[in-house]
Amino acid sequence: MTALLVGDPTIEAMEERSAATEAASPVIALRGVSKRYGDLLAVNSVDFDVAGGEILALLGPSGCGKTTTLRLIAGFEEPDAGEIWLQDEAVAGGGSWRPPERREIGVVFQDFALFPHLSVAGNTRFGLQNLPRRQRSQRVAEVLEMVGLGGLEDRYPHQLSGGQQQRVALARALAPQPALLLLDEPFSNLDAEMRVDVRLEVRQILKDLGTTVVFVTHDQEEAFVFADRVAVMNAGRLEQVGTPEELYNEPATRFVADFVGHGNFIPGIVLDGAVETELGRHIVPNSASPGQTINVLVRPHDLAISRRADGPLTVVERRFLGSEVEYVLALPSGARLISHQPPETGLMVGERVGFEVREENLRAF
Amino acid sequence: MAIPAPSAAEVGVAPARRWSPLPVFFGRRRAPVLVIAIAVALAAFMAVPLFYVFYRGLTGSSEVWDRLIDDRLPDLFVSTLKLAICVSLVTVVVGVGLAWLIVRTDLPGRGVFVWLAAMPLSVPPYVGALVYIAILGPNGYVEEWLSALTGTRERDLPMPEYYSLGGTTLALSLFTYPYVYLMASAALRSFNPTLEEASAASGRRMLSTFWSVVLPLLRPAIGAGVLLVALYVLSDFGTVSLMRYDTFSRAIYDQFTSRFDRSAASILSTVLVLITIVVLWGQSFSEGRARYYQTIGGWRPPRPVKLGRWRYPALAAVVTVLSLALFIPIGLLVYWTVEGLTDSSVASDVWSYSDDSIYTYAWNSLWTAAAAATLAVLVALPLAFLAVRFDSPFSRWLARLSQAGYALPGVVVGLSLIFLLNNYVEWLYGSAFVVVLAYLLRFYPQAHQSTTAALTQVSPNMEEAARSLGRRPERAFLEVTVPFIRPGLMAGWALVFLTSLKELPATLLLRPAGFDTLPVRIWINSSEGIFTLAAPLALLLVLCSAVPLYFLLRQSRVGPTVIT
Amino acid sequence: MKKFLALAPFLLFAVAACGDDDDGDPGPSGSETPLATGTAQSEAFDPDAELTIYSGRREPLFQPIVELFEEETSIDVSVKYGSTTELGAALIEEQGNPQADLFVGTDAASAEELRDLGVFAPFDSPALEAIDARYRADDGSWVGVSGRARVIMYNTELVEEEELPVPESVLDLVDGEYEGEVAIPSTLNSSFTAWVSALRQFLGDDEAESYLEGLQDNDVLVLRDHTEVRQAVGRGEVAFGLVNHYYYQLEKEEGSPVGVIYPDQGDDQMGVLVNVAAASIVNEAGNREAAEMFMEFLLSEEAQEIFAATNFEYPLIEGVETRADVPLGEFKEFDVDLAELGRMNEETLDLLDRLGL
Repeated sequence: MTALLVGDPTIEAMEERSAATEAASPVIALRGVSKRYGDLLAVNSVDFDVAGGEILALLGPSGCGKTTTLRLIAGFEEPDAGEIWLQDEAVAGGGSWRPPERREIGVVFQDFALFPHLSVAGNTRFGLQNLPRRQRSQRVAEVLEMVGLGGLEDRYPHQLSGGQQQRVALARALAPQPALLLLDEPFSNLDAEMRVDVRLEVRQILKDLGTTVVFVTHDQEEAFVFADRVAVMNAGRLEQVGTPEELYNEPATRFVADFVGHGNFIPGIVLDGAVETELGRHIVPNSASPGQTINVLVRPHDLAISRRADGPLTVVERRFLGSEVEYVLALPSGARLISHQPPETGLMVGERVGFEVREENLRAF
Repeated sequence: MAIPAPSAAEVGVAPARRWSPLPVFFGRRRAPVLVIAIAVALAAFMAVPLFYVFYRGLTGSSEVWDRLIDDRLPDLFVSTLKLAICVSLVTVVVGVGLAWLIVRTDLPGRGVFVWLAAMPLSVPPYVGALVYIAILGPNGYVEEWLSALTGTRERDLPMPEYYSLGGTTLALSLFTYPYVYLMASAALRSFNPTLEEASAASGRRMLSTFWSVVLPLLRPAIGAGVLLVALYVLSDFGTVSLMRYDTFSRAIYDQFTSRFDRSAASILSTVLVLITIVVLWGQSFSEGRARYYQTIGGWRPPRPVKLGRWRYPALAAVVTVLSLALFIPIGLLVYWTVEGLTDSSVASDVWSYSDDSIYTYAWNSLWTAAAAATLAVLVALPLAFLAVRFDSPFSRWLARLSQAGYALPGVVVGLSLIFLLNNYVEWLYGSAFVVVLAYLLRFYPQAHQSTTAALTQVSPNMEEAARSLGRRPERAFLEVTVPFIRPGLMAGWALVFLTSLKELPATLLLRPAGFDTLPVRIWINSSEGIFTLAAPLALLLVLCSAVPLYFLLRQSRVGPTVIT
Repeated sequence: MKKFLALAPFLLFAVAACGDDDDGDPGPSGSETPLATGTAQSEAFDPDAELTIYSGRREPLFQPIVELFEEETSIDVSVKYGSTTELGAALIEEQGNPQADLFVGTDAASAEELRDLGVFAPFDSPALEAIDARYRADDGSWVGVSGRARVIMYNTELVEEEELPVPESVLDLVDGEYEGEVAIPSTLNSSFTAWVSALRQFLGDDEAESYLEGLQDNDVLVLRDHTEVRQAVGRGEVAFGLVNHYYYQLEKEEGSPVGVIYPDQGDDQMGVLVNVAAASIVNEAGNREAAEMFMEFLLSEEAQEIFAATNFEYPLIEGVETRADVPLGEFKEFDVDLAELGRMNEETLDLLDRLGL
């Protein structure tokens, strides 16, 4: 039970949710894993667990250590400190080491890394050397059918489109029925339009199979759509792990709040039980002592505005986003805020507006 | 086993990794110790002759140094440099000109010329020199013909002296320009045409565009080609000897073989190797500053330049070069061969001169070249693997060390092996394997570079993918990497094979008694002045060289499209 | 198929390696026949062992003798052909690790120099007595097997057309009328070097040097070897060439319009240098028995006949006639100790280097 936990134990809600969905011990667990390249601490004491059948996204900007974490799990790198547990067995750290070829972890690379000298079937068959010969072709056909590549067995990688190559890479990784599947930016090599469809398709396949997945992305939207839980990394450290909702609504750090979704940060001074900001005095949970300056996060949806001739805010920009309209507002101090409103709001640039803040959603950092 | 709970104590800065000397040398990831050991041993082995030459040269008697500095070095220096510069200039003009006409214009027949223009590489320059001695030399075909035409005696004809800087430049340029041609045409083929379009859009005419945009961007490719030409000139022995032109290589051979004091040869070798190293250094310096030629971006086939009324003059120029470098030499070799075969007193000698037959020589040539090529590829695998996968100052240094052969002309390799083996590895000396060793040392860089280039193309993900699918590292390398870099390995193999096949000076020095190769036989027969006996051997050598060359050309054109 | 192609080079190598083994072993067939020569054999003699010869003599002139020897003794002989000095240099480097059993060079001076360096083993045999003591080393380290005279050959047509006087002395060749008309071989050629040493001995160093400078000032054509010289004279590129007498004979036999001068015949003139092609047994030769047999074979009438017949040389034993136009004894020879010329060799080479010849 304790094993299921994550970066910041103060977030109780998340722990409850995790506990409800996962009962068995995790497929993969990282304990204080660190990796150093020269002076750079690429991965710094990272802990997390992934339960069976769960899809976990490692999300963060480039250079945050997410790909290194993936490579540590796969066994392409050795951690300098900490342990990695795969299905109740330590595979790295604490004196144990299991090389990648004995970890039974499937990997889909960013560039797919298909073997150009092998056909689609040859690539898919590559990991099946432990299967009796007769069953291999059967398994290959099965997997290719599953990813929708039936009939393309004899093609070579260079004869395939990007989306098809991606599916071959997936088929190859899935064919040996790995305990864990790792995806490294799997959709970044695809066209924008194709990406959305492929993403959903792949997710469906993985969910149908009940595969445990860790995948790396720098795209917050992709992480939210694809993963059950998201682990946000920054500068080698794990900032927070949680469901997309938790991350959005209950960001544990300012970085998470900033990286996940848009946010307005407004400075405020802590007073007795409240925070005084340019948007008024609000009750915001915080750990700062009175008199300190902190930043208050206001999500664009939590800032309601309406036309008011003597309103304190001025509309300086208006962007039509389709289902809603994004307004950029200027505060008297000159600071800018973003607010998302339904299209029918119909405000024009230059108009003055009044506002209302949904206090229960405010967070301070 | 139970997974430990995360403990707050563990959070914090990770301890510095445990100390190990290897990562210091090999950067981010630790290379397998076995690979490092093999690579270090091989690189050391490849570099020994280089250091031995220096050792022998620098410990040579100061008296001999003084004598050489007074009597020989200045003249040799000037004449060698003059030749290298002249040949470089001619090959740039011919090589770049042909490349541009064939790759970028609507020249008639360029589909055929694209191959033919590279084929003179299969004619060893000393064979070419022989052919042109017979044509342009004193009392040669041209003089004979002019004499018959004008009624003047041959010796009274106002013919320019063929045994001269000009003649030597001609003989060397005609058979080495393909180095420049190949490099320049490869660069032209990958040249982004939008650059030319941009130049045209800025109001430049075609010729102005060529000078101000195309040529500067081709410079690194041309430089690489010229480097190969210059290195060839520095190492050439056969041609300059036939042409009676004094260069370092020839002087070293002469010093070694004309007097029984070897320090003069060692000293000249040291100087020559230093010159070669300076040339290499100069090239890498200018290349380092000019790496900008690789244009990435939307590639599409460039629109061929319309030659208009220059079409036929251009065609004539191309045909002239190919005639001089290919048709005439091969035609004459065929003529002599036929002449020899129809002359009954010569015919039997053609097939079996003395104890050995032409087949023995061909076989000796082929198997030694094949053995050297195979060894070169096998040596290149660990060294290139280390250089590419574990890039670090140390691995780069190892790679450079292993390519010492670049700076070692054939005469010097021969000499240093004679010295080294007789002093330290006596049992090895006197077998044909020494000849193989000399080829390996001299031509290894070609295998190294092809292999490195191929390996660079393989994403390390490919090996990692194989490992995640259950392959041990060595299996992953064999099953995935090796097949993938096979074209590169084959290209390296073919290059080493091709150049080994033509090698003359080291073979001349190192061959055991009774072991002659085609070039050695051509050399011996031609020094007898019997062209009809040398011709069939030369023809056979050209044919044997043409096969790997054809393969190489196909590889270089087809290769990239398969890889991407 | 694809797979096979990939393996092709490696297969080729494997095949090559096997093939080499086959080549390397001397064929067993025939070699078991008992020897039928009159030479003495020791118990340890191994008729299967190959005899390795380094020959500075050109292949067409030497191979017939080798073949005859192989035929008569069933000993396999392998020969490395090259220039005398080139092979001599190899012998020096191979000291202590000798590859050759026997060395045949083209002049006595370089043989003496090599003897001095300890490359050769002494040799004694009754057969030596047939050779004039002038033409062999005292200890038999080198033994002359054929004689050659240093002559001037000329193109008869050219001399007539250009109305050039026929020189009576080599010293005349520095005269202005011979400008650009004389060819000599390069210093790679040991016969030429020996001749320069002889000049130094006769004229003194200073005179010899100014003579050579005179040749240079006269645009002397320096060619790679004697074959090039005789061909240059034969086809009329130059009128005169300094060669061994048989080069003149060979060129004449090919039908070129050439004549010969045996120069310097006056009482106070130096005479013609007669040098010998010398054979030597290499120190610590692996197959000394066979080398001795070959040595003796070279001094046999059969072999001497071949030298005389194929190459117009002067046989060095009684009873074999030369085919040369001017036989030995009919001209004045330069009276010199050939071994002495060998000791002058190094200095001569320094001189030639200094002059850039």
